[in-house]
Amino acid sequence: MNMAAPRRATKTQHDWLARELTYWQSQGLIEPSAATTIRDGYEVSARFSLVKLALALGGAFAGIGLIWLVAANLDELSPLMRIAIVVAFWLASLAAIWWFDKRGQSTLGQVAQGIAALAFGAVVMQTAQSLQVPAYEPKLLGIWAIGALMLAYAVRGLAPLIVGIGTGIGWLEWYLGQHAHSVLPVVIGILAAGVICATVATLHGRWGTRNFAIPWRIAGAALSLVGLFVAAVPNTNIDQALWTTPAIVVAVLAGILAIAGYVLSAERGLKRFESTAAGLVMALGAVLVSWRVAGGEHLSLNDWAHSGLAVVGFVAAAAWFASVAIMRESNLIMVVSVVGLVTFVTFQSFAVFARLIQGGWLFVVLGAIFVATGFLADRGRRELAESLQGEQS
Amino acid sequence: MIRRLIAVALVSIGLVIAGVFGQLSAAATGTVITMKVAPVDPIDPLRGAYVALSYPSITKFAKEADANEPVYVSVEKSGDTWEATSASRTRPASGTYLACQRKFSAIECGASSYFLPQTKAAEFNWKQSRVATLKVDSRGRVFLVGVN
Repeated sequence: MNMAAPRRATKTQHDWLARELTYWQSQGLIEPSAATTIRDGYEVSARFSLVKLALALGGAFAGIGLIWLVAANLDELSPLMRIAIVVAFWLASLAAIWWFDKRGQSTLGQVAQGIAALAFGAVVMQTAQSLQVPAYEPKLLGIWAIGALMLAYAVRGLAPLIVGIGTGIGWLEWYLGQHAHSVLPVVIGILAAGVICATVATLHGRWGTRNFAIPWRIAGAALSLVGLFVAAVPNTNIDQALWTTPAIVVAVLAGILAIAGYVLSAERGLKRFESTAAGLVMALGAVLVSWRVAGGEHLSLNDWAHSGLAVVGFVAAAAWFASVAIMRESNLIMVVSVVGLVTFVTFQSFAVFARLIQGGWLFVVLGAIFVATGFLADRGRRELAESLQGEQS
Repeated sequence: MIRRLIAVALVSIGLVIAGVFGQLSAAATGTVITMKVAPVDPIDPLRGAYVALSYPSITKFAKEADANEPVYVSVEKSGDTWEATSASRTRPASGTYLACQRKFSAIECGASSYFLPQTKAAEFNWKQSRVATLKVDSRGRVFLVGVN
């Protein structure tokens, strides 16, 4: 093994390695000299990550600052001059991507990619502001999302992808909020977006840049859980649950996409079911949001059945995404599933117990449920991790 | 890499133009009209302070359209300014008209926000009568030139 150039590791990784080496020596697996050689082959490097952090923060500040300048509507400059400045900044950041790529400076190139994605948003907003396009127009956010996603796939940049997915989700929520006349299309729209994200993540395992799957997968989990959360809210008004033609078309297309994701996936075992699981979450959400409950002070059998299915379904969905988090080694998906589960159980408990208990006792009971759910979710996560690791080994 | 970046830049510019095409077309080719307006003054988080404009002569036709559906408001000159005279769900064959859409309880014709620096928006004096200058192209697309 060539140890001429020490490999870089974080302090946490280095400490873990030191502990393991001690354990391996105690088990007689390696000699002390081998342990020393391995340990000396790695050096703790905090400087590297700090530089990256500083660059990432600097890029984010520059990009967000540019959008802030647009919102400040500086009257010292004419509208046309303001467009010219943000366009020049955006084109300069595109040129910087090319320049850093040519010189092989990938870290600086990634910063330029992030700035370019944010600067494109500034171009869209400044142009719309200068032309007095009416305020709160979701189409502009959609254009920003398409531009950022195009850039992400053209330069294989993770930062533009995150900007593109974030603005795309923002556009979807905004568009649905403005155009939907009831809860059902909103729920179907969010859950279908969850299916799309999960399918794209699955397909990235086979085609394109593999690490692009990570943000798509996180967005898919978040959208599926948010959609299911909204669907589970008891609906007492039949007008809120009317199926419109666009909602039916979107649901059918998302269902087809979920199956296509399964067929085209390069994975084996549980990992192959990511898109179909998102499809099942959408189907469950569709049932819950179409289910009319009576409401009122007394819970009927129908109300209990709705709440029961909602709780069992949401817990199952959160458990699935926790499994995905363990299989994909993603802490963020785990955070999404645990936060989703704790918030959901507390919300549902509030809906039920607020009818039975009032005042300070209500908060005591809810607090206890919150703590118990958090404890059980954490314990469940550990057991799930051990079980899945056992299966994989 | 350079070709991909140029392609991204060109398509992105095309997207921006498509996004603001209505206002751009009206600004470039539209006929100038002026209409009386009434105010509100909120903030758009991504584009800053603006004065939300309501067009009293158009608002009265809000019931003529379904939510999110297009509605065409015909306008005619009445004294110094122009007034909305009728609204229909089909595009008028002749005359000057605004291509609008029903949004919530109002009619949105693409000229309801007047973006200004925050201090100027706050100082906007609505006690005096205000008139918006618009440019309207042959398809009813509107560009807000200014408010006097």
